[in-house]
Amino acid sequence: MKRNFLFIVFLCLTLMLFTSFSFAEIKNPDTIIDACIGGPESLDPHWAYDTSSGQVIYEMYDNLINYKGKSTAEFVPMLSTEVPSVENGLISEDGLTYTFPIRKEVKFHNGDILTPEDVVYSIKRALIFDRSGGPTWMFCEPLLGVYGIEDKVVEVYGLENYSDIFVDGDPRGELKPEKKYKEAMIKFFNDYIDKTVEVDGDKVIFHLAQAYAPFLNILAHSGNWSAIINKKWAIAQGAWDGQADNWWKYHDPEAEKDPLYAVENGTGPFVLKKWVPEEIIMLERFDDYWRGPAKIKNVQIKYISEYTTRKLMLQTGDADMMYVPLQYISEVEKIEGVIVEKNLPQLANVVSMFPWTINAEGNSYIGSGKLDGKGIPPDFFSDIHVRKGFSYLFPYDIFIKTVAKGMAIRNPGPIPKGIMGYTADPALFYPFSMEKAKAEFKLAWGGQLWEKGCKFTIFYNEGNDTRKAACDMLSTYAKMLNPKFNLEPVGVQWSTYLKAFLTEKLPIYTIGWQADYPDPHNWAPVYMGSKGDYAGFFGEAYREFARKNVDPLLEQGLKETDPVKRAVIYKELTQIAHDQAISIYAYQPGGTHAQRLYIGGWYYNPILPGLPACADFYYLTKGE
Amino acid sequence: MLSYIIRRLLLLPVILMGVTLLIFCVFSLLSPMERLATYVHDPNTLKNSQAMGRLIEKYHLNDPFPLGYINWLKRIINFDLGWSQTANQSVKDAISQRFPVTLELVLYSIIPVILVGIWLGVLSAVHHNDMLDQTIRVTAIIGWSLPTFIFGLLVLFIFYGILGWFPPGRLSSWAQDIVYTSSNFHSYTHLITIDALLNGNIPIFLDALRHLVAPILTLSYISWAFLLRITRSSMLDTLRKDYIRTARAKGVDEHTVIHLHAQRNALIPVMTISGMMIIEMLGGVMITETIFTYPGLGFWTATAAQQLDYGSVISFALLFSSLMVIGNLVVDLSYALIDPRVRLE
Amino acid sequence: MNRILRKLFSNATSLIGIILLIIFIAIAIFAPVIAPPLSEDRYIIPRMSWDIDPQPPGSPMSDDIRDIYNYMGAEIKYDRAIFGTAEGGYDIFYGLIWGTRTAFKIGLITVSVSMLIGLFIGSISAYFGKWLDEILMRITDIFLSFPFLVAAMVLTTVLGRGLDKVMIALIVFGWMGYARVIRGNILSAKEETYVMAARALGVKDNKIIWKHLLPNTIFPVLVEASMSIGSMVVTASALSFLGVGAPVGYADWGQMVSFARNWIIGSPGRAGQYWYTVLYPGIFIVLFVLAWNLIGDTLRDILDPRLRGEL
Repeated sequence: MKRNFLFIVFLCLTLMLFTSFSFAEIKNPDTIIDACIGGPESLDPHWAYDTSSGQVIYEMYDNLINYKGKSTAEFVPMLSTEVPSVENGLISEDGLTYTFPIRKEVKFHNGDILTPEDVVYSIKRALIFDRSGGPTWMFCEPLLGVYGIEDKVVEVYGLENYSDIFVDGDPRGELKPEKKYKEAMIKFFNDYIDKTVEVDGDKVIFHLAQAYAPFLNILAHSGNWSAIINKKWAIAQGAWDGQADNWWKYHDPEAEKDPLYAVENGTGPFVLKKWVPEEIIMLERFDDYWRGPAKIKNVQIKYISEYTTRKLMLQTGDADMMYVPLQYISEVEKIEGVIVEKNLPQLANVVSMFPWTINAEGNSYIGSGKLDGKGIPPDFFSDIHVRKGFSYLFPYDIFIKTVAKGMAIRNPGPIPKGIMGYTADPALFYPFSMEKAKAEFKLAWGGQLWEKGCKFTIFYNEGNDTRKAACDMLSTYAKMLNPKFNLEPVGVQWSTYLKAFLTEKLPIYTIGWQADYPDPHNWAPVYMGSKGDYAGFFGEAYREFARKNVDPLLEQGLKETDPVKRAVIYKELTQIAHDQAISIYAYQPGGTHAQRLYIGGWYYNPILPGLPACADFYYLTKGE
Repeated sequence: MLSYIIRRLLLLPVILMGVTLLIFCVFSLLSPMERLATYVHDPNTLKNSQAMGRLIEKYHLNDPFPLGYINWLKRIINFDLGWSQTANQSVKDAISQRFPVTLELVLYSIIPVILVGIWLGVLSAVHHNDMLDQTIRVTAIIGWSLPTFIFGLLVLFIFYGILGWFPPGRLSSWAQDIVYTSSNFHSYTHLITIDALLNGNIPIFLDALRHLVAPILTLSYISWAFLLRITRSSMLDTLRKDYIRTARAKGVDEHTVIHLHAQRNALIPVMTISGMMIIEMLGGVMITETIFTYPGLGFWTATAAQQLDYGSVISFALLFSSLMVIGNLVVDLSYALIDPRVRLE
Repeated sequence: MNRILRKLFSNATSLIGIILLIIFIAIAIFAPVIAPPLSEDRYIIPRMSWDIDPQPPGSPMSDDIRDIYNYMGAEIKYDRAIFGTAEGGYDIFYGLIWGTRTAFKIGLITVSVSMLIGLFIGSISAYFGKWLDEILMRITDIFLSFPFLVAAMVLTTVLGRGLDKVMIALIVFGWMGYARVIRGNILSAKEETYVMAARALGVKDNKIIWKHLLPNTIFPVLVEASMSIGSMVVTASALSFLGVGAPVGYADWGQMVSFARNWIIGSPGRAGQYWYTVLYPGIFIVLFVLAWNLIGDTLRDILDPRLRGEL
């Protein structure tokens, strides 16, 4: 009896369940759903330095200027009413002063009106906040001339370390009690931070520490770090109060102490409705947006790491667009009702690098550490013939065809296509040629390399199959060329990779870079400068070479205001990269975008934050 | 009895310390630079080698092992479980957000496991060694041999990809809107099905149920094979008992013998084991949650383990260990309560 | 012993299990003949092409790869992907054949080592009792309180990828069951008269454990162990699926399945297009585990004293 009753209950429930399914024509007609991976780290514009956060902050906050449509070189005014230039006098002749007239009648999400004070506060707070590993170095470089505010304090007061002036060396604790420390810090603020930007009536004026060609790029909408926040509101949340006498307490806090991490109050077209970290973020249209309200009422970004699941969602219409890893794009193309854009020029590239000096201390990756066929000496790659040999050895086109499915292009040097200074001069590309590779290797190390052979490990980050394929190819072709060349491809955890990278123990390593902003200054120094994010770890021999031959050119390129002259400088750098065979510039991947046909208004700009290739939701429509 | 309970409960802190110490040890095998990987996903965030030093200092990655452990203990005492880099929220928030999700999934999975497992186990024991028994046993064994992830992906494919019945995730978009943002919807327990009923919102209840079916199917099918075997052997055991023989001799019909007498007694050990099974499920729910994008503890912990987010891993381990210890205690107590012959030393 | 073997062979289910097992053993032994290795390291699966897409069964080696082997003068002993290729051009057939060896390795090593550890700890704990028992059992409790999969993941993440690291993780968190079982059995056997007699006669402790206690209590443990072999392989493959475990390209069944993860649903309209990426590895895993389970299940029935008369 009881059993039959249970059975009937079960039957009823199932019936109700199935009748509840709705197979609507277009699901969720007033919401656009984007299925991505990852998840924002923080909604604080000055903390976030990852694409997921960037994507969301982009929709909730505005910047002073914006990129014009699909261009990465032209600007249009945004919260400023004009784009400064030398012609209209808003950039001074020496490139050290920038003036922005601020737009009136712009509303924040909480109803407050935007004032120039908000702009000034945003910039100063960014400088003070300066989270380690964060994006605000991009302000520090032009406005203070160094990479971080701590470096400036150290420089100005001749300290050993920033933490020296704190009790117990804890920069998050108290300053040492002697009066002079507090006075020094206040003085530092007044002399440096305070002077970087000021209000002048209804204008905001920036005072740079050095002429900086990409300054407008840094301020433009796509960089979350230069979003304009509401001063009154931020102070009310517990952020820096704008005073000079305690700024160090708000410097580089831990994540849990950042009051702006989960709240927002921008002037952008969307308001934060709900954020469930790592799961979903829900945005709602801001009806009082100064440019006019967005066309779509709701935007949801869902974070789903399983590709299969995302794909099924796109198929059934539960998601309107999704992130597709390159290798699966052909699958997604076949889905009915879905349109895929391929080969979108992305501002990213993947490069295999040769450190000129490898740290040999306890380093198992270089085998015996000698040129005896069982290892390589630590300065193996300092011989240009070795580098050239490998540059001829990599099967560029086969790789692009089979692994990247043809959706990538080569770069001759560190600057990718789409960035000013890129050159497609065929003379600068190394062809794939076993003969030439052989010739170079025979010259290397006085012929000893060819005779004795070599053995070392090449690395890729675990879980990245394209990089693995690249390493496998290099290893296979090397072995083909000379059986005594043993390159062992090894996949390691990111933690191991990072450590080996930081301690300069990696022989050839393959890694990628994505643009912070579309200017060659974000590329060439990285891969070639003596203090470059990557090149800086090539060993002392390289750093010396770079200091003499590369850094001066980088300086010049940075400060040059004439775009034609700049292009020439960066072409020269590319020439050096070629002549010195500094790295294998493997490929620049093409971006892809997958969305349902009924989404309209999508356009591509490579600088839009988010995984490739995302959208500017302000312009999107759903349905007819 | 009371002293026994207290003695067992006193063990809890010892075990918890042991667990956390062990995990801490394991993570300390890594150098500070390797542990930096939790916070640095791209080398470009280390603008210069200074940044590396600052980060190591900021997150206390350089602290020698005993100091690090003691500092962590101090924070725990103040209920500060730290920040989860992988969840981008405090560990406490991460756990309280995800625990009800996993709990709901596991609790609902127990029902089919128990019903099916016990029913088949009894059946199998009653028809011991003939065709039915063999068939059931083989089916169970096959079920037990198929890895969860294959089964889960197939379920996803068939029931969502082809049929479109049971989508991944926890709720549909419209339901999510209401649950997360509407002021009319009150989350009393954070178990969406229960909350929906308490709010009188049947469509949301059905929607949540719809999203639960596939994960439940995947999560439960391994466990019912296990339960089947336990039930079967317990039942076989009971059926051999003297009082069953007596009942049969007295002429009681077979149906009553099996269901009224044997089953009741055979199920006692089974029920107690079910308690432990719930807790075991909590530990093994990772794969199911990953495949169905069910935002619970398992999924988050798996990610945290891979990204060396040790604060999160330790906290999850603490939770799980506490449950295990308490669960064990409850099971032992119920044995004692039910079977007077069992003495608790 | 003979009785047990006789019973195993006569029971239908266990007979199937034994036959399957023999087939697998044969595959493992004759792997070099069935799937001749094309490179020095035999456990690295050869790539039939550089293609990311899985290729259907019977596809020939791609020209790029063929060129490489020709250039190197290596003999191409077979050039068709019989079961197709997985993502990245790895030959599924090769991976499965050599993966049999890996499976046996993982299963036998992890189970035997963890069983030995468990036996050791359990028996001295039970025999000597008192505070040694207390401490050892608390330690066992601590290890038992770990969520197994999480613990294994943490360990492999810290130690790095590699088959040996996976085995270490499985062993470190797998011995507790054996310890408890043997302890329970010994505790009850300890009170048996023959043990008391031996003690009274002055027989040394370890002799008592070795010659009297263990042989009489060990069978249930062996049964458990044999059933665990299958589940260890499944767990190892689950770890591969989650992204820790054997290195990519290593001949391991779990690897092969994890390759299939993103292709399992095929293209829309041609669902199941990549069936071979899942079916073949899936069959191998299921049949392997099935074999052990069938044998173990019957073994348990045989050894269960309460059923002695029935079978």
